[in-house]
Amino acid sequence: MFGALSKQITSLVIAASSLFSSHLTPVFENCTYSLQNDVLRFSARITNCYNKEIEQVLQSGQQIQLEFRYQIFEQGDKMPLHANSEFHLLSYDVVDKFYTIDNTELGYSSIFEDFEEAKDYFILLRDLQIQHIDFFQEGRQYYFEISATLHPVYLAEMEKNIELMKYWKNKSPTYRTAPFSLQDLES
Amino acid sequence: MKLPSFKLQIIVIMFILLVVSGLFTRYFFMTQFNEYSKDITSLNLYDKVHDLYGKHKDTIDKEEVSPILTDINKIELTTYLFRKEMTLYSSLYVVISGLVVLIVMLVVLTLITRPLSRLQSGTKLIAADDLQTRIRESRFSPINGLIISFNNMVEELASNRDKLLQAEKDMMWREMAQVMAHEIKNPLTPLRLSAERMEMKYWGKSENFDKIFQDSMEVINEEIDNLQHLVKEFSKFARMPSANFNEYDINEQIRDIIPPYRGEADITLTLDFELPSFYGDKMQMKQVFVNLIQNAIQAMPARGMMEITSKHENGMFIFMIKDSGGGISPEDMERIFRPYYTTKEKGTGLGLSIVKRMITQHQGTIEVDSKKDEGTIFIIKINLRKKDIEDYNENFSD
Repeated sequence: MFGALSKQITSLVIAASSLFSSHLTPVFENCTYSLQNDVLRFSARITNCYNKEIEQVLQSGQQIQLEFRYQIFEQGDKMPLHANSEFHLLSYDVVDKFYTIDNTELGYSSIFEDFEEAKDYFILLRDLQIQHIDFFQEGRQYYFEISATLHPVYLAEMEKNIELMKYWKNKSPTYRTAPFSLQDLES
Repeated sequence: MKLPSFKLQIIVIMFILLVVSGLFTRYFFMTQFNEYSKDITSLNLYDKVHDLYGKHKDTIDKEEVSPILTDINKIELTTYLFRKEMTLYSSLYVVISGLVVLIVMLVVLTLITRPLSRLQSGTKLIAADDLQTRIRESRFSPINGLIISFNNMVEELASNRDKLLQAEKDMMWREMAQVMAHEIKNPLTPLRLSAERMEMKYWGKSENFDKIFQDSMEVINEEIDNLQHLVKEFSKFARMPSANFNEYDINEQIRDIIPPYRGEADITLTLDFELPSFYGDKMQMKQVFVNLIQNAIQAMPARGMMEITSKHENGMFIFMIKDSGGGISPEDMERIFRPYYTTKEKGTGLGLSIVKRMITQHQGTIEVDSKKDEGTIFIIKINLRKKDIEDYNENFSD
């Protein structure tokens, strides 16, 4: 009886601490932006973004959507001058056991047999085209902001939504650049 | 070791019971659910279907198998997620329900204990003779009925006390009227007889009228003196002045009182030389000692022994006046402090009553112990302190 009780108390403590520990705080890392072929491009990866629950969902065969939303602001303004989104769609082929990732910013799909490779690729942004150089005007300061959001997974027959963002504490990782001018981009 | 309050004890016990029962409930349901979860996983449905498809790849269309495998994954996924959530939420349930029950218990216990504290304070006030006390009702308290009954009881007590006081007053007045009538009636007979005798001898031109006149006038004057004495004592009792408290050496006072009585009894003084200063009314205390000494002397017609003692114990002044007289009978012991009660032929019955009243004014007590043919002892205990004087003035200023 005391054994069961002590086991319960321990699991209660673990469960209570999991309230804080099982939820993740993902962040953008290795963020770089530069002008390539007259287009402002951005590269980064999200780290600290997977836990056991998210991995289970990724391997379930349901399609997972990761939205990268980016907005360009003029320094001092609150309204974005330009806003757009790109999506990474991951789905697992439950029959042939491979992962397909569609990158809308690249316009093609990639296939992975290894789960770890698929995970790495899913959260990777390579040369995301933010805006053409013509958009930016001389003498003005700009910055852009990019955030990532996991869309809920809807289990149709079960009429159940799995809110993946709750594992990210319902907070999208966001990266904001330092203010820059056209001249800065060109130099 | 002082135990924690009743309220705290109940809360701690209930909290422990609640957490333990919550943990066991959680343990029971989680065990059941884990078993169910294990059963689903142990079926290995995904692998079985996948292996089957592998063996019959040529005959089974992939599009037919894919939704089945997806559904199996969905079941395993939702079971896994549900188990995770249950682990978390059941723990939260134990903690939150524990807190909710604690709050509810605090409210309920407050509803119970607050009126109980009021009742406790109320009973203390009533014990201190404050029958105006009423306990505030708590409509939501489970013991409100008890409060209402308590208030009714106090109401009844106050009413009965008033009636009793009135009855006591009536009885006192009746007793006093009886005594006064008796005391006045006694001298009236010799007065009338003396007057009639004088009148008869005067009209009869009696030869010895002068002698009879002188004798009758002696009787008349004596009875008038008696009546005057009676009126004086009665007046003294009725108009006892308010006390005037001061600090003084009561041993010295006792020593000063004694000399005139040394001729009538063998008096021994056993006085505590370390007696602190006494707070009291010097005049009243003198009257107390004089009355008790005179009583003792009257109880010892054949020159007896008297011992007067003073001491100070536990902050209390104790005075004892002991005589070797004939003692007081048990039936008289109960009445000796009543006004107008006397066993003496010429007593007014006010002496000991006045003594008792004065001692009461000093917030003290007087007790008497007596054995037939051995003597009587009066014991006075007074514990009046400087700080009590203010209270005294408030209560006895009339």
